[in-house]
Amino acid sequence: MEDEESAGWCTLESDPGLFTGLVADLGVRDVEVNEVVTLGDDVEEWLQLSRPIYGLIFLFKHDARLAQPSRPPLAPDATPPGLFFARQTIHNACATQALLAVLLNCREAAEFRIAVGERLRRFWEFAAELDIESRGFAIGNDEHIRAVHNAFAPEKGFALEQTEARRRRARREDAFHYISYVPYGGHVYELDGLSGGPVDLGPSAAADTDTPCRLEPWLEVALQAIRQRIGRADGSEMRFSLQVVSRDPVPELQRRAQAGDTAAQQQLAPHLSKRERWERENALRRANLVPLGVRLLVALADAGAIEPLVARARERERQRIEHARRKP
Amino acid sequence: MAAAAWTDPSAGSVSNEVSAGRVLLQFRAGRMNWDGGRVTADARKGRVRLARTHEGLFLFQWMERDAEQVEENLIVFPGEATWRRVSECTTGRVYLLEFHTSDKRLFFWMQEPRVERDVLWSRRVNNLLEGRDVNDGVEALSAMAAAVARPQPHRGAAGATVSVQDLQQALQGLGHRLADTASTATTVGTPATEESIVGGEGSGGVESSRQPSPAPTPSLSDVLQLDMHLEQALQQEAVQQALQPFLQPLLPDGHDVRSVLRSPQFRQQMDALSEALLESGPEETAEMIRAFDIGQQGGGGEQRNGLELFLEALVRRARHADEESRGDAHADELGAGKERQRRPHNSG
Repeated sequence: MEDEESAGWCTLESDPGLFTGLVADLGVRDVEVNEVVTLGDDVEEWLQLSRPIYGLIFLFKHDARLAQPSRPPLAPDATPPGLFFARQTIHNACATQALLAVLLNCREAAEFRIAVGERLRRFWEFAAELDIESRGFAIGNDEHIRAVHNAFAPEKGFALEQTEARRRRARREDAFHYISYVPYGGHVYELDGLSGGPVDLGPSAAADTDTPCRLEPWLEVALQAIRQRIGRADGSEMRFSLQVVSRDPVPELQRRAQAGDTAAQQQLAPHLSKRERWERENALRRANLVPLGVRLLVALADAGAIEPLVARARERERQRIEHARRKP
Repeated sequence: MAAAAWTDPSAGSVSNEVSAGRVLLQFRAGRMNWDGGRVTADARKGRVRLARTHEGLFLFQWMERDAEQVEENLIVFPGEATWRRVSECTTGRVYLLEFHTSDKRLFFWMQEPRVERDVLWSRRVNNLLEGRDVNDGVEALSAMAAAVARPQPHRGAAGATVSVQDLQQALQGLGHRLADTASTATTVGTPATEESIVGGEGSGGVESSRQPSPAPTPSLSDVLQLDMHLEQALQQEAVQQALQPFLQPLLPDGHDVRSVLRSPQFRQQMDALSEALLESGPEETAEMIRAFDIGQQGGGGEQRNGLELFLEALVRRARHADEESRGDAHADELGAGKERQRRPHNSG
C-alpha cells in the first residue's frame, strides 16, 4: 500500500554534500551546494563561495508564521514566461524540487547559464507546457528524477507495515519547508512549492537596506527577504538552514593547478578533501547498514561478547531516563 | 468477484480453480502428523492452498502435489487461526496452523525451494487468515529477505530444501521436547496441550524472559556504541573471524567497521530498526529474528516488546554458542550450561 504523500519518494537529509551529489546525478555539470551559517552579515563567509551564485535554498522547520509568502504570489498570467515554478505535490520530494527550481531557472539566463544536461532539458521542455500543479505531478512521476533522489537513502531493509502512528510521526519529523530564491530576468523570485505561485521580490538592484551593497545586488534582495521571514518568528527558537547553489570551483582550479599555478594548487587541496568527505558520507547514506549491524551483533553474540554490551546499553538508557525525569 | 473468476472459461489450468471458488494462494508444503507427543513428517510432496468459495467462505486445504483430491479441507473464519513457524524445530521449516477457537492444530513442513522466502509465504498466509490483502506488507518484507539473504559462509548450503531424513531427525528431538514441555506445563487445570510448543515458558528462554523486564530497553545503536568495551570486543579474534567473511560486501566504499559505527547514518538506521522492533508484536519479531538468522525467539513474548525479544534472542544465541564451545571441548561431560562461564577473551 503506497503512502500517497510520499508516493515512493524517500525522505532525505538537508546536507550540502548530498545536494551536490544529487545535482551531479541529475546530470547537471559543475554545480556545488554549500551551507552558510550567516545571512550575509558575515560578508567574508559569502565572499569565499565560488561565483556565480545561482540560487539559494532556505529551509526551516515548518511553522505557520514563517510559511507565509513574502508578498502575494503572482497569478499564472502575470508570471514571466520561462520562469519555472511547480507546485509541490509530493511531500518527500521537497529537497529535489527546491534544487530543480534553482537549476531549471538558470538553464539559459546569459550570466547564470548552466548545463543542466539532456535529461533535465527534456523534462523542462515537457513540463514547461503544463500548469503549475501538473508540473508538480510531473516531478513526482518522473522515474529518473525519483531514482536519483531515492538513491541517497537506502532501500528499506526491514520496514514493517506503515502504521498510521508511524506515518504521522514521520510527517512531523520531516516537516521541513523548502523555499528557493533565484535571479531571473532582472528580478528576484521566491519559489515556494507550497505557495500558489512565484513571488516577485522586485528588481535585483533595489534591496531595501541601509548598509551599502557588499554582495551581488540580487543576493542582497533575497537575503533581505529571508531575514524578514525569520523576523516573524519573534526570536523564538527555530531551526533553519541556508544552502547556496553556485558554480563548482574544482574544475577551474584543477585546470590552473595542472598548468603550474601554485596558488590554485593550494586552493584545490581543501576542496578535494571536502569532496572526498562528501563522497564517503554519501556512500553511507546510500548503503543499507542494517545487515552489517545485525551481522555484527550476531558475531558479538557468537564470541560471547554481547551480554556485557547489552547490559551497558541498558544502564546508559536507564541513566538517560532518570536524567530526563529529573529535568523539569 | 470470486464467482466471476471461477466461471471464467479463460481461467485455464484446473489448478487455478477450485470447484467451489477461487485460489488465493498456493505453495509447496508437506503435512505432518501429531499424535499428542510426537510429530512425524508425511514424506509426500504436497501443497497448501488457500481459497475462497463463491459463497465467500475461506478454505484452508492440503493435497498431494499433483493430485486434485483435497485431503485436508477446513473452513476458516477471519481471525480464527494463525499460521506460525515452530521455532523449536531449528533445522526443518515446520509451520503450525493453530486455531484460537478450538484445539485443532495442523503441522506442515515447507517444501518451497527458497528458504529465505518462507517468511513471505508466512506473511501471505497470515494476511489471508486475518482478512487483509494477500500481499499486504510483503514488499517490505521481501526487501528485508533480500537484504539478509547474503552469502553465509559459516553455514552449509543455506536455501537447499531440507531432506525428509534431516527433518525426521530434527523432529524426533522436537517430539521429545513437546512431550516434556507438555507434561511439565505449570498451568494448573489446563490439559497438557502444546500451549508451550511455540514460545512456551519451558522452552529454554533465558531467566530474564520469565517476567517483564524492569530495565529499560536500549536501542540497538546503543548496544553498538563504539566505546572502550565494544572496541575491546572488536579486537577479539573470534569476533574478527566471525565478521571477516561478509564484511567487505556489506561495508560502503571507503569505510571500515569503525567509521560506519561512528556515523550518524548507522545510528539512524539501527534506531529505525529498533523502533520497528519496539512496535512489533511477538509474531512479527519472531519473523525478523528468523529472517536475520539469529536463532529463535524465547517464550512468553506477549508481555514484552519486540526489541526486548530481539535482544534476548541475541543473548540466548551467545549462551548457546558458549555451551556448544564447551560441549566441543568436553564432549562427554554432561550438564553443560549449568554454570555461566565466559570463554576466555582473546586480547589480540
